[in-house]
This record gives sequence, C-alpha cells and structure tokens, in this order.
Amino acid sequence: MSVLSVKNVKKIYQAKSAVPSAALNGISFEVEKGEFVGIMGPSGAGKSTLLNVIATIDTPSSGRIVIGGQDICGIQEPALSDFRRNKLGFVFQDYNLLDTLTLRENIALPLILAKKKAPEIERMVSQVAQQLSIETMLKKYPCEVSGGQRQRASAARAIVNQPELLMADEPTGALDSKSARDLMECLQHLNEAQKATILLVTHDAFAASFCQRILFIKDGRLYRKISKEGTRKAFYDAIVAAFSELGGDDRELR
Amino acid sequence: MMPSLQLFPSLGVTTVSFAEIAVKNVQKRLGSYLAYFLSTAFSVVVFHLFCTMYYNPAFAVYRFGSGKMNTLFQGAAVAVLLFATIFVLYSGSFFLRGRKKEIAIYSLLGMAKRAIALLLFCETFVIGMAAVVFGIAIGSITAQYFSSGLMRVMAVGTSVTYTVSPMAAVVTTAAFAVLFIISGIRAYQVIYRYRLIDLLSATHQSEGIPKYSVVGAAAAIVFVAAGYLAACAMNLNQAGMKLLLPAFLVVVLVSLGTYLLFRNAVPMATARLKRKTSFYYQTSTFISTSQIAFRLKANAKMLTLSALLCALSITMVSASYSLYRGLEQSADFYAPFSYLVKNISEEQHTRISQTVSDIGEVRITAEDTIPLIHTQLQNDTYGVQNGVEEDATLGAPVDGYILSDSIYQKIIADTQAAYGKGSSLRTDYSGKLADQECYFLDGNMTNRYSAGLIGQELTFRVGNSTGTLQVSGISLHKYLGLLDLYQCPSIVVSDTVYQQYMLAAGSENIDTFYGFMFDDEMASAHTTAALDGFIPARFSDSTLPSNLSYIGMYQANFALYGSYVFIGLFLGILFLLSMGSVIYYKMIMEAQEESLRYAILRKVGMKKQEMHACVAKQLGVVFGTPLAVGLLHTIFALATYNRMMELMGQEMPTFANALMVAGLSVLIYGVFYLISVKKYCAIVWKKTK
Repeated sequence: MSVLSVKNVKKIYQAKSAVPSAALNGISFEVEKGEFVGIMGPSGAGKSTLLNVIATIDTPSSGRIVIGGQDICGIQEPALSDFRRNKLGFVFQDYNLLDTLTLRENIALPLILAKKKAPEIERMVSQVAQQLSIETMLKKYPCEVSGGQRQRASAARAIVNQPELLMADEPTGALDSKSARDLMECLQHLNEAQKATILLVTHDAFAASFCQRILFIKDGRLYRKISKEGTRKAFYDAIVAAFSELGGDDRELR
Repeated sequence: MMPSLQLFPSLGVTTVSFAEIAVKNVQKRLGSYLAYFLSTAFSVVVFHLFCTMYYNPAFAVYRFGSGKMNTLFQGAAVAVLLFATIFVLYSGSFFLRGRKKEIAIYSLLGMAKRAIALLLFCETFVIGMAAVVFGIAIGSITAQYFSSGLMRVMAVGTSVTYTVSPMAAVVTTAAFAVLFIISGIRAYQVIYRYRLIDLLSATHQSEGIPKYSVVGAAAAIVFVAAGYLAACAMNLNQAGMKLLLPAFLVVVLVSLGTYLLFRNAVPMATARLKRKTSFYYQTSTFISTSQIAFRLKANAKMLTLSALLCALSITMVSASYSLYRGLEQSADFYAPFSYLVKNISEEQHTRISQTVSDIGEVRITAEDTIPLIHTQLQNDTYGVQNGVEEDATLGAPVDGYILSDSIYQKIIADTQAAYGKGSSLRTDYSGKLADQECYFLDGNMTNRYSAGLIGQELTFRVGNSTGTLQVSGISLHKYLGLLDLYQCPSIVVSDTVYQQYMLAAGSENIDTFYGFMFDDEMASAHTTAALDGFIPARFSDSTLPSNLSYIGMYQANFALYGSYVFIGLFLGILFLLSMGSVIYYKMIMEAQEESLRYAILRKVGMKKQEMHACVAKQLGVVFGTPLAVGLLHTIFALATYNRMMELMGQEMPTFANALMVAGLSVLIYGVFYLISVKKYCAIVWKKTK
C-alpha cells in the first residue's frame, strides 16, 4: 500500500516581469509503507519545493499528492493543521526545537497539541527517547546539548505521534560525521523496527546510503532511481557515481 | 537578523572615522533603528511632559515647600526619573541584544573591541539625541493639548496656565544625556565581557527558568507586608522630612518587595505549575507558561516597573478624582444655599430679587428668611472643640442659636439636605417636637460630645431668662454652611417656644439670614458677582468669597486645591498611558523574536486559533500580574491617602470614587492588552505564513 503518491506535480513560480520558472515540472513517484526513500539532486533541482508541497507547507500549481489515502491538495485550514499534526512528522536541518522548552517538552509538543492525557504523554515521550537514546538528557534545554542530540530530539518529536510519513530535510546537514552516523542509524532502526515510512532529502551521499532506494531529481523532474543491492558501502559508491552522472558538482557531495 | 553587508567596504578604509560609520549605520538601516528610536522618544515625551509640569511657575511652590502635596510632587519626580531610566536601559539592552551577531562579525573581521564599543556608543548617542529632540518637540505640543484637555474637564475657577519653560527642555536633555552615557557604558561592558562565541549564539541562548530562592520569595512578602504596615501606621500629621522619610521608607520597602516578588515568587509559582503536568500539558497553558518562564529573569524588572506605575497611576487618578468630587461636595458643605446673606436691610433684600431677574442668568426657586435667636447653651458633658485634635472644655456656656421647627423644616426642604446621621451634610430631623423638647445641632465636626446628649437636659439662656429643654435628637448638620455655624451649636424648638423667646430676646439678639436657592447654581457666577457688588462683604479672607455663595465657594475651593487635582490627574493619566505603552512596546519587540518560535510551532501542526489562545494567555499574564499587584498596592496607598486627608477624607467617599477610577483604568489597560494581542498576532502571522 502506498503511503505517499505524487502524481504529475508542477510548481510554477511567476515572478513579476520575468519568465515563469518551474521548480517542479511534472514529477511523479510513490513511496510504499515501511520504505526508507532518499531524494537527491543538485542545488536548484527542486528538492526543497518538493518537500514543502508534500509537507503541506506549500501548495502545488497542479497535480495530485495523496498521503495515507487522502488528497492533501483539497484540504483547508484548520483541517490542514490537524492533518499535518496527525499524519506527518518533520526533521529539519536546523532542528527547529523551541529553545524555551526542555527536550522532554519539545518532544511532547505534538502530543500536547493533539490534547493527549498527561500520563500518556509521559509514557510516549519516554518510549521514543529510549529508541533514540536521549533519555538521560530530557531535562536539558536545546542549547545545553550537542547538535547530534538536538537532531535526535527533533527526530523523536517527529515520530512521537507515530505519523504516516516521516520527512527529514537535510537532517545531517549541520552535524559532524559521528553524529550524522548515529542519527542515520537511529532512523534506519526506526524504519526497520517500527516500520516507519521515511522520506529523506539530502545532499549527503553517506546519509543517503542508509536508504533503501534513492530518487534523483533534476530541473524539477525525476531523473533516475537506484535501489540498494548488497552492502551499504556498495550503495554509497553507486550513489556517488549516479550523482556525478547527474551533473552534480562533486563538491556538493560530502 | 543578518547585518547588511554593504557596510563592510567602508570599514576597510582606515581613514573613515567611527563617528562617520556610526552615522552611516543609522542612516542606512533606519528601519531597524526605528523601534529603538521610537521607544526612546516615547520616554523622552513622558519625561518632558512631567518636566513642563514640574517647572510650571504656577506650581513652583510645591517644588520647594514642605507640605504634604510637595511630598507627593517630589515622589512623582522620582518615579518619573525611575521610569525613564529603566525604560531607556531596557530598550538599550534589547537593541544591543538584537545586534550581537553584527558585533561578532565586526569582531571577526578584525575590528578592535575598543573601536566596536566606540562605534556602538556613538550610534546609541546619535539616535538617542535625535530621539530627545524629537521627543521634546512632541512633548511640547502634547503638553498644550494635554493641559487644555484636562482644563476642559476641570471646573470653572481653575487657574492653571500652561507655559513652556526652557528649563524643562534643558533638564530633559541633560537627564537623557546621562542616561545614554550609562546605556553606552553598559554596551561597552557587553562587548568587553563576552567572548566571540557568546555573541554569535546570543539569540539562541536559553535562559531557562531563572534560579529563585525561597528566602527571596519570603523576603518579598515580608517587605511588601512591612511596607503596608508602615503605611498604615505612619503618622500623617507631619510635614517635610518627618513625612518624607517614612513615606520614602514605605516606597522603598514596597518597591523592593515587588521586585523580589517578580524575581522569586513568580518563577517559583511557574516551576510549581510546570510540575503539575495534568494542567501544564494543555496546549495554550504549555506554550504560554514556557514562554513566560523563559523570559522571567529579564522580565522581573519590567514587571516590577509596570506594577509600581500601575499602583502610582491608579492611586493618583483616584485620589485626584475623589478630591475633585470632594471639592464639589465641600462647596455644599460650606454653602448649602446658592446665596446667603446676613442682617441686610429691606431695601437690599428687594434689590437682590430685582438684580437676579434683571441679569436673567438664573431664577430664584426658593427663598428662606431665617431669624436666629442668640443664646448660650450649657450642659456638663458638652463643649466645642477648637480643631479636631484639642479637647473641648466641658460644661462652659457655649454661644449658639435657637431656630424654630418650621424654619428648620423649610431649610431642609429647600437645600435638599439628605437624611442621615453623623455628617455635616445630613440630618435625621423629623419634626414633631414637644414644647419641652429640642433637637440639637452640634457645632463640632464630630459627634464626640453630642452623642451622649440625647435624653439629657440642656440649659439655655436668652437675654436674662433661662430655661431647660430635653434633647430629643442630635445632628452635625450645618444648615447655614460651616462658616456661620463653626463652634456654634443650634437648637431647634417648637414654633410656640420659639415665638415666646423671640419676643424676650429683642432685636439686638437676633441674626437674620436670608438664603436663596437658584435653579442652576453652577451658572450663577455673574449674578453672584453683581449681588456682591452692593451687599456688604462678610468675609475679608482672600481665599473666601465676600459673601457666601455656592459658586463662590466652589471657585474658591478650586483656586485652592484645583492645581492639586490638576497635577494628580495629569501625572496619573501620564503614568497610566506610559505603563500601557511600556508593556505594548516590550511585547511588540519580543514578538519579533517569538515569531520564530511560533513558526516552529506552526510546522509542528499548531492551529491558528491555538496560537491566538497562546498569545492571549501569554500576554494576559504579562499584563495581568502587574495589574493585580498594582491594585493591591493601590488599596493601601488610598487608605493612607484617605487618612492623610483626615476630615476631608471622612466627608468624601474616596473608595467609591477610587473604585470607579480603578475600573476605568483597568478598562484603558484592557484596551492596551487587546491592541497588543492583535499586533502581536499580526507580527507572528506575518512570519509564519
């Protein structure tokens, strides 16, 4: 069963006194339940736009996006907020944790918004904190922990209400390689153990190598797909090769 | 906020002076400096408004004198200075906080700390001084409207003239120059104290719930309580330093207590609240509590200032308003009749009626001829007091008047004296006097000596004959006004007894008063002036009208106390508006930072209406707590004020008036709250959508 279905989605930006430019130019793909899919592409390929329209933060100019059987293009506020809250989870490059809240409170946020009972909130927060091994630092504020721990807290917040789809936008972008590996292993674990469906947008071939398959996009179109066969190392090499072929600057790959 | 990069080429040129960079900085990014400029200008306006009042020649006496009013006036000066200081320092540090990253980039590019500090100092000074010029200009214009507006509200006879004093502008400029230097020194400290990394991550630093101490919270309560107790216990019948010192002590105790309260007790309460998860884990409570907790440390000073300003403004406006209402009542108290004359000729009497109808300003609705018989009254437990403090000599014969039942009844009806006891404006006389009875009208201000007279025998003497009457009732009612009946008791007797002694007295022992009631006594100024032209003057005191008239007393009262009312209302309203604006500005400045957090909340799936509820709750606490604390202070301040006004306080229901004013202030404050919520939400929407 497909969790996410993107059909012929276009996003055209009409700037004043300029030729309209298409950030997304009729892109289509599907993500099945329990899949761990990566999206890669050079700068300006439309990765962020794609993620924004799937995340319901932006609306496509045309095409259809269905998440968990529901067409998201027709939903209006405040149902949209509910949808975002209940069906989607996000991990951002810059964490987007509230510095006014402790990690525990940050993770509890979606549950509080969903008006869950206090004991249930406590239980669920402890559970995801354990899965992401940050249970010892729940009382700390974001500024008191490392970037990797912050990002894991952010991931914990994204999955605490068991969303249909977890979206991660360059989650390793601000992390050192050790923290990046830890985080990706956490996500992989979530995918394997909890059957979480994950959509990862990244520049980082190393991070991408944790996925099961990679969609390469260029100029707003789907350019190529590759799937993991064999070891992660082999997949990593395949990704690097594909990325160079795509015309992506090697220096963009990290 | 990223610093504008086009600045840096100019930094590379070593010959560019720092003053030039500072000026250019201000020029190029005027938009982002505007908030700082406006908030500074606002405090200049408030300060300058106060200075124009303080240096108004009409009020010069209050500045240097040592009466009770002077103490209030000087206290207000301290409060305004405090307000300006905290406000300028606050907006200065907020301004600096927003620019830490920019400072860090200068530093990274190799600019010396000393140079950066100098740059910031110049900048602050340039904007500051521009704000001072702007503020003084606005202040001068506003002062005129403010004064004339207030004057319109005030009664006829208030003689406060508005004058622009150059002294006000000089003092304002000097005071703010000092403030900017202090603010600049603080900026220096920031730059020297922090390491580069702190500056770079300044906006990301979490304050967390500030450390609080239980001792501090306890001390807060002890200080406030001690302040209240001292206010209740202090002797108010003093002047000068004897009044100023205890008053100062009370202010210090209460201010310190309030600060400790916000610094310790409120964080303590927040921490408790956070532990109560069933309550804490509710969307709007959760967000607003955590946001407030996050800012508590920085907020303590601001909340303290708001609470004190709130207390100060409501107290001032209430006190002034009740004084204002009291002045009206006290005109009644001095002049129950619209016009009252004594022992005039028949010709003068006719001329009065003639003059009133000739001028046509008012109509005579009632006229009382009141022949009073001179008498000496004696009872062993009675005497008249000379002032409220001294004890009366008991048992000595007291000069007084005899009047008849029917005359008294007519006076009550014509002057519309209220029914009641224990007041100079009320009577519980009901007539039905037997021939051996009398109704006693006390010449004292309190019923301390007359309360026990009911049922007792009272000896009186008219000419050579004496008699005894039984007192059937007593009242403090001053039916002719206070001046003619001060230390002069009267007895009301039945018409038969009155006629009998009238004959015995002879004309030399009779004072005949003529009382006139006009249909609109407030509009009788010209008529009264014309009447005073031919009626011989009874009073030569410059603070009194020459003959007793309602309008004359009214104007005389306002000439005496009007400026108090004016100053009180002026400052009270000024403070109220300042306080509302302070919180408003603060919230708007914070909204810029908070909007980033709300953007995250929005991404996590918070609804628009939930955000609105959060903002409303968050601001509700920021506006509500100082208001609540301020109102509590107000109660004690007003109780003290009421005691200070002594007699006047007894005759005037300060609390009833205060309640009304407090209600109105809360309403105005509420409007500030609503505007803030609206603006706050608008800023947050803009950033999130």
